[in-house]
Formats: sequence, C-alpha cells, structure tokens
Amino acid sequence: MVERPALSLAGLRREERFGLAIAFGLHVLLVLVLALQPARDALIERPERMTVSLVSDIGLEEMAPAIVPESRAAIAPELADVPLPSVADTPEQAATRTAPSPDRPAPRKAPKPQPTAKPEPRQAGGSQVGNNFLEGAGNSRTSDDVRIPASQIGASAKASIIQAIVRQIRPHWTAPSGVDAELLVTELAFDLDENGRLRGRPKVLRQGGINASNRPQSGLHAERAIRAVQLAAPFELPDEYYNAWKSIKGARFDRNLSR
Amino acid sequence: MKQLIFAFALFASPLVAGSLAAQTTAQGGDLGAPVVEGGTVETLGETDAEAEEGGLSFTVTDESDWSDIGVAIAGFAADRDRPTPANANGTAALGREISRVITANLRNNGIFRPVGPDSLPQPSFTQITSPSWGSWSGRGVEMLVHGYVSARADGRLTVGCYLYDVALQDELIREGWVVPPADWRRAAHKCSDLIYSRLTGESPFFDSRIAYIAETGPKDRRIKRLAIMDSDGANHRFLTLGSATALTPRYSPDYKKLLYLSYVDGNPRIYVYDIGTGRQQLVAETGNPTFAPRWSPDGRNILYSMAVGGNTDIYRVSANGGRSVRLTDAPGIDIGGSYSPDGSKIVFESDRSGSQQCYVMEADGTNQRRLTFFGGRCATPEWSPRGDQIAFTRIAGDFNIAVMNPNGRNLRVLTSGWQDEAPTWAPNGRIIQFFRTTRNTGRSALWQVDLTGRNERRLKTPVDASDPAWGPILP
Amino acid sequence: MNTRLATIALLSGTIALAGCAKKAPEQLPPAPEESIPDNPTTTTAPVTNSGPTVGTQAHFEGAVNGQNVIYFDTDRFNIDSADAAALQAQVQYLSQYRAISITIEGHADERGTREYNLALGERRANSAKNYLTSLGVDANRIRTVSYGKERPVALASNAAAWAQNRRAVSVVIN
Repeated sequence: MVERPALSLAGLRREERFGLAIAFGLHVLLVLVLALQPARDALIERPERMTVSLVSDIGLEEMAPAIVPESRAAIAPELADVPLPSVADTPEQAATRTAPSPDRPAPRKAPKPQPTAKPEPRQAGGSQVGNNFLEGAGNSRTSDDVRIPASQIGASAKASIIQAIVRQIRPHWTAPSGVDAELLVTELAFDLDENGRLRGRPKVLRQGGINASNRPQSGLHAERAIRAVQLAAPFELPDEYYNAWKSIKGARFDRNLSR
Repeated sequence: MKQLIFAFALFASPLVAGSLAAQTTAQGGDLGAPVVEGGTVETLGETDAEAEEGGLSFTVTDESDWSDIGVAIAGFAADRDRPTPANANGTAALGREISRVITANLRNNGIFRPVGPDSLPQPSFTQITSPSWGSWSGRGVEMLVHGYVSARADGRLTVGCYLYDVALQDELIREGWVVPPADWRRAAHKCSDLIYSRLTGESPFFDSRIAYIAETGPKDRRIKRLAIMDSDGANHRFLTLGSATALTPRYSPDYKKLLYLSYVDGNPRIYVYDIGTGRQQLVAETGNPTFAPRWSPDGRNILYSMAVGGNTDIYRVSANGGRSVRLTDAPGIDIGGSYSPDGSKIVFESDRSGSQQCYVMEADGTNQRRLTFFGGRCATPEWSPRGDQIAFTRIAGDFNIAVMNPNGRNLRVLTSGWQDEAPTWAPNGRIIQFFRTTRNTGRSALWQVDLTGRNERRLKTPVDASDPAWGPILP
Repeated sequence: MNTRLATIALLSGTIALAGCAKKAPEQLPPAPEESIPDNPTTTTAPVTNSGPTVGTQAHFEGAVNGQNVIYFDTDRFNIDSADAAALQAQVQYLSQYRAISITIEGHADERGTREYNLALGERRANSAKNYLTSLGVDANRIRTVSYGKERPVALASNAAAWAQNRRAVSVVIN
C-alpha cells in the first residue's frame, strides 16, 4: 500500500499556503470577471448581403480595343524618358501643368505601360489637350464624343456597372422548369443606346448543359433570357461610362438550386 | 526567487487567458456563425480573349424557388350567341365552359397558377385579337389566354385559341380547330395543350383518354368493371357490367380497341374489345391462362404472357391474329413487357434470378439482360413515350413508383405511399399515373405525379379505381 | 472470504443453468394423423342421411377435415410437409370417389403487383396439381385457376392475414 500524502493544510509550508491562496483568489476573480461581462447583443448583426465581384485579371492596362476610336476626352501628354533640350521644355511644362482634366475618372489608372514599345525609350507624346480642355474636350478631329473611352475605364468601374445591370435584369429572369432544366445555360449578346434602351433584339451566342431530357426546354430558356433583358430595358446606368456598357457580349443566364 | 517568478507566472496566466477569452467570446459570434449564404458571387468571365472582344460579360442566376407561371384565361367570346347542341345556353355560355376546362387542366398540372374566367372580365369578340393591354397588366397578369367560339352553319364549332405575353404585349401563339359539338371538350384540351407546350417546352398530353378498372364492393368480393374517360375525368363510360372480373386494360394506339383480362369464362384470359361495336374476341386460343396484355407502339402486335405448367413466358402475336411467337423461355415467371417507343426493345419483369427484377431484350426476344441491380425488386416496367426513362414499381418494403434510365441507372423514387403500383405514362412522357391502395381497407384510387416528383395529386373517379392505362394523343 | 466463495458459487451456478437451456426442436412434430372415415370403398351413398352428399364441396371438405387448403410462404410455391399431408388426404379422397374432379385455385397475398400475383397463383395451383398427379391422381381430373390477389379470405393488412391468403384451394367441380 502506497502511502498517500495527507491532504491537510498543516502539511504545507507557509509559502505554499500563501501562494495557493493567491492563486485561488485570482481564479475566483477570473470567474467573476467572465460571469459579469456585460451582456452581448443577442444577435450579431449579419452583414448585409453583399455582391462580391471577383475580377480575375487586374491588368495595369485595359486591353480593350478603342470602342471609342476617337474621343475628344482630354488625355494627358506622355512624358518622354529622355528629356528634350531646354528650349522645348517650357511649352511642355506648360502643357503638363494644364493637363489634369477635371473629368478624370474616379479610380485613377496607373500610367499606361506601352505594350510593344517597351524596349524603346518613350518619346514625348503629343498632348491632346485642346483649347476647350476645361470642359474635358480634347482636340480630336474625328469625334465629338467627350465620354471616357473604354480603354480608360477601370476594372472596378466595370464591376459596378455589371452589378447594376444584373440587379436590373434578375427580377425578370425565371428559368423554365423541367427534368434537368437547371443544367441549362444561355449566353446572350445585346447592345444598348445612350438611354439604356435595347438596340435591336438580344442574340443568343451559345447554350450549354443541353441533354436529351432538357432539350425541349432549351428554346424556352433562351426565349426567357431574352425576355428578361427586354423587360429590364431601359437600363439605368451612368452616362459617363456609356462606352463600357454600350455593348454586352456575354450575358450568361442560369439557375442555381443550391439554396 | 525562481519559485516566486514561477508562481507569479502561474497566477498571471489564468488572468491573461481570461482576458483573451473574454475578447474572443465577445467576438465568438462572428467566428462561429456560419457563412452567410446567398451572397451573389458573380464571376466576371474576363479572360484575355473576352476582354479583347470588348463588351461586358456577366452571369444572371435565378435562385428563386420554383414559381408557377401566372396565366389568366378569359372566357372565350362568341361572335354571336347561337344555340348549339354542345351547351344548353348557347355559344356564349359554351365559351365560358371552354375556359373553365382549360383553367382546370392547367391548374391540375402544377406548373401554372391559372385564373379562370369567373374571376376575370369577359372580353368582347373584337378584343380577342387585340387585347386591352392596359387593363390586363393593371391586374398583374403575365400571360393571357383569349379565344372565341363560333357556330358554323353545319352545326360544327370553330374554336380559336390565342396566347399573349402581357409584359411584352406580344402574341406568342395562336391556333384554331373545327370540332363537332359533341367534341367541344377536345377543343378545350387542344387549347390547353397549345398553352402548355408553348410555356413549358414539353409535348402536349391533355387531349387523350384513360382506360382503367372501376372497383366497388367489399375487399374479398370486389366487382371490377372496365371503364374509360378523358384525361381530366370527363366523358366517363363503363364498358363491362361487372359480372365477370376485368383487369389490366390497355388502349390501342388508335383508340379503337382495348386489350384486357377477363374471367368471363371462369379463367383468366385476354380479350380484344372493340369499343365501337362492343364485341370482344380472345387473343390466344389456348387452354392455358393468359395475362398481361400489351400493344406495340404501332398497334400491329400484341404481347401477352401465358402460363404453361406453372411457368409463365411472354409471347407476341399479330393484332390480326395468327401464330404466336414465344419470346422468353427462362424457368420462372417472365411477364409483362413494354416496348420502347421505336419498337426495337422490350423491357419486362422476370424472377429468374430469384426475385422480381426488370430485364430488357430486343423485340425479337434475343439478348435478354438484367437491368436492375439496386436492391429491392422491380415490377411492371413501362417505357416512357419519349424513350428517355423507364417507370416501374419499386418494391423495397413499401411499393413506390420509380423511374430509371433505359440503361438501368439513375434510379429516382417518385412517390412514398404504402402500396403504389402499375405506372402508366402520359403521352408526353412527363407525367406518370398509377394507383394507390390503402392499407387494411384495400380501397384504391388513381394518382398522378410529375416526372420531377412534384405535384402528386389524386384523380377523381366515380368509384374506386385501379390499373390505369393512358392512351396516346388523339389526332 | 465467505462472500467471495458465495459469489463465485452463484455465478458458476447461473452459467451452468444457462447452458442447460432447452433448444427448440429442429423438426416440429408431425401434424396429428388424419382419421379417415371407416367406411370403406364401394358405397356412394352417404354414411348418414343428414350429411352432405358426395360431389359437393361440403362433403369434400368434411372428408379431408378442412385440409383442402394448403399454404405457402411469401413468393414461394413449394409444397412443404404440412402441405404434403393435406394433399395426401385429398389424394385419398379422390381415389375413393373416382368420379369427382376438382379445381385448384391459386391465390397470392395483396403484397405483390397484380400481374405477377396472377402468375404466382398459377404457379402455386400448378405445384399442388403436380403433387397430386405424382401420387397417382389422373391429371384430367384436376384443373387449375389463378385468382392472383383478387380473392383474399383474410382482409387485414398484416403478416397473419397475408399468410392466410397465400394459398391453393381445392374445390370440387359440380
């Protein structure tokens, strides 16, 4: 039989007793603190439903072609790598000072890298700040369009435009029901005029997810997608970004049953 | 000294831990809460290629629950209120009756939310082809059905049917039919089929008839009579008196004949009953019992099962009579048989493996192979008229109606009754009718379920009913 | 020490008792022998004036003492020993009254699909017929009919009722 140590307090030394008392007291304190915490809100507010746009590519430069081939928007001049002799400096400096257009788009783009001309040193570019630069007009001779060209519109601006369009289309979009009908996907393309109205009829680019069971619903799926766009028009979208939402090239319509 | 430090550390740690815990518990709700569902994540499909094309890309996802299509069916207008044998009160009243039949048809099939003529203003004859859009969209109507009835000089009726999209103010489809007054309901069914097909993409099925067995009497002495009716239960007729038990009828594809099993001579035998003349004829002149009659899709051949010395096999005979061809010869019970819509294969049930299972073979009886391997038993297989599914009675404890692909995979159980058996397909291959027996009382009724498993509903019949057989679309 | 001994003794006693439990016999004792009426062969006149006449179902059932019905297990159609005894009694009757023909009705319980049950009833009737012919009864005197699940005798929906409905009934043809 092993002799167990007696559990009486008398067996402890004075320090141990003291330490034990302190430890006990602190534990009691801890328990009190936890118990007497101010009552939390019964419900943590759930965050509002948030639309999250995942932009897969964030390019430093938009690779879009010039949807507005010529715009009279003011474009700042490019500074040359190799400064010109001083005589030419002055007019340039004057140009750069007046360059900032009052209509600069909200997200300021990073300076455009030249995709092809990297190896060569940049030349001093011509500024397209015209006489009427205060109104944001450049001196393009071929177009009166003063909106921001598509190439200059940023990714997050496009993202919010997309959210606005989807928000306006979704209430009108109901997918047809049927066996395997939730597999169907239709992609449309359509154009809008400046007032957000449809220009012509949306076109079906392609359909996916068709199998033998849901083939009868595929035509209906496309028809309802077109109908949703037709009912959503005219769209309410910001004018200055018209060049971005002028043409929709890939509107996908599908159905999510995971809820 | 070291002991003191150690002791202090001991005291301090619970404090520190306590304070940390206090913080984390305050935020514990955030960490522990499940991720909020339903936030839309829109993937911008901006690959390089698409970005170079220009134009925006996005996805619109429908996440709502299944919603029914709202359809308003206004009363059919008559150009002139003329008397007609079809209705005691003339063509105007007939127009409203037609709308009511259409409303009932669409309501019973679970995809629509119809509003019938009794809750809607009656349009005038001229409004049929040019509806007053404002008043309809003011009522919140999405889809609108208009129509007209016109009595011709020869007594027949012209019925026109128009479907409009109120939101787009657009006519979707229109069609008209000329019917004898006795067949006015068929015009209503044709219009229902038009609307149904246009709005769901499926093939029509309302204009068809159902044969079944009407049952009365106590459980041990049931009186069973052959009966036929429209797909919505109207135009009901009893075909036999009930003195001899009648079972398992089948409509011929041209609706002129019925195959069924009768005990009229004291033994179970299969007869072909001519509906026009009311006469019937034995299918197989044999002393052996014959069961389970079936038509081929072209109506030219009849399948039946015959028991010889206790062993039952499937035979084929021409609908005009002649020699029977034996298709199966395995020991055991091979019975039933349902042709694929193209007539190339037959699915049947057999217990050659020890329990009832479903097998498939070529139409000439070769290449018999088992289809069902998923536990439980398979009985009464029926090939869908669309060819993409086989419905059967699945026995696994209870008896339920189930479907599977023709290769025996992708089993889906559609009902959950105690004893649901004998499925039969609607002509469009999207709705299955069966009969459900109640425990103990043994009473049975006809039920219907959609292929997606939704909209299970009972069909109203004058008395108890069993053994339903749905005929094809009437031409 | 005493308590320990007592505990051990108790436990071992319990185990011993358990080991001595009786098992159910593998084979049930045979059903009591039928007593065939003593009247031998030749007369066709009834034994007593008030009894049923020969050629009626009542006479037949009385003679075989109710064993004109044999029962089957679910989905089975084999003749087990109880069935064999009943059929032997029927054979005895049929050999005694050689003018009588019977119909064997095959039935199934409600827990099956309609057409399969028709075939199963036929199988059961046939099974009984084969047994009778193997014992010497002329096959021409025996007809078979299947009623599938259409004619139950027990109307409940439970195992006991179903067991009563899975049967083959021999009926005298008048």
